[in-house]
Amino acid sequence: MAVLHDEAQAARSANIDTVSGATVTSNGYIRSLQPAIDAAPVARS
Amino acid sequence: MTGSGPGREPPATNAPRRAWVEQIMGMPISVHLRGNSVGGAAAAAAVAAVFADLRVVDAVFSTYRADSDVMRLNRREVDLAGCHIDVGEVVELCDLARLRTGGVFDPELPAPDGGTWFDPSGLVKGWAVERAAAHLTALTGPEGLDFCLNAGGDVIAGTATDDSPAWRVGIEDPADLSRILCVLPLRTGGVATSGSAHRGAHIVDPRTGAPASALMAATVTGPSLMWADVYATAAVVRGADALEWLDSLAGYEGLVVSPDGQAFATPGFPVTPS
Repeated sequence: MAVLHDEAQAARSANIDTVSGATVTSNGYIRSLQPAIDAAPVARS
Repeated sequence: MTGSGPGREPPATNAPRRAWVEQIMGMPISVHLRGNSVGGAAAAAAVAAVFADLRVVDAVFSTYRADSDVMRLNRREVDLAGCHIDVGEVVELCDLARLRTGGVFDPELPAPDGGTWFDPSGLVKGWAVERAAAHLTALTGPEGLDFCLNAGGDVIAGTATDDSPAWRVGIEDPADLSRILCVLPLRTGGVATSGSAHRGAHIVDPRTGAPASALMAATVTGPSLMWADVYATAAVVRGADALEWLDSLAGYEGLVVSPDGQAFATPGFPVTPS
């Protein structure tokens, strides 16, 4: 099966829209990546 | 598969975006919309409907709420016929999930007092989010909106047209929660990740009642978020043969992370150069 080399990188540099991880509970939300992503949508009109 | 070197793509679209977040079912639920009418009434109404649906699901199914239908069912205060009609639907889906996972997915779990109780949480989350996302699918179409709904790490998306840029879904590195393993491009369907990174060994092997710890995490993507969630949870429990099993599931692709942090993907797992 395909092996992913350790390309793990900081999420911020990957310009991602959202993160899929094992269930983030409301207690764990603060430490996860998602709040930064949710808080910074790009709005251009 | 070897990844490419790190690159920075410019934003794929300059379309307006808006995000909403609420804490429901004990987890953050984020909705991202993209397109010219993100500020309109239809968008606001659709997002509100998503959150409202999930609050109802929480009231019916939460195992953290003593008065939920599921907990009342478990205490024998009510029978299935006396529960919200959705409980019956979930029971049937759990039976199907048990079959499709060879018994690895099983909502009958050992209860603290030594009996068993019915805990369909592993299926309810993906089922509920997929159903609620129908309000957002209604916003897609030509001149419509792209959407991306993330419920505690389960992601479902849709785009206005097939030409819309894909959403870039980062797959969390379970060995370091500030990093991602890869970027999965998603236009439609769902991505679910199961594992022990966030809450310790909360996954139980129903065949033994013991915590399952063979894989740090498993990510599954495919047309149904509910099934992606069920298969990801089953994969973590299965451990050693999980990748082969995921590869055998038509329409679904998976990635598993071994206890030492190595990631392995099925040949068709979609990855975008990150």
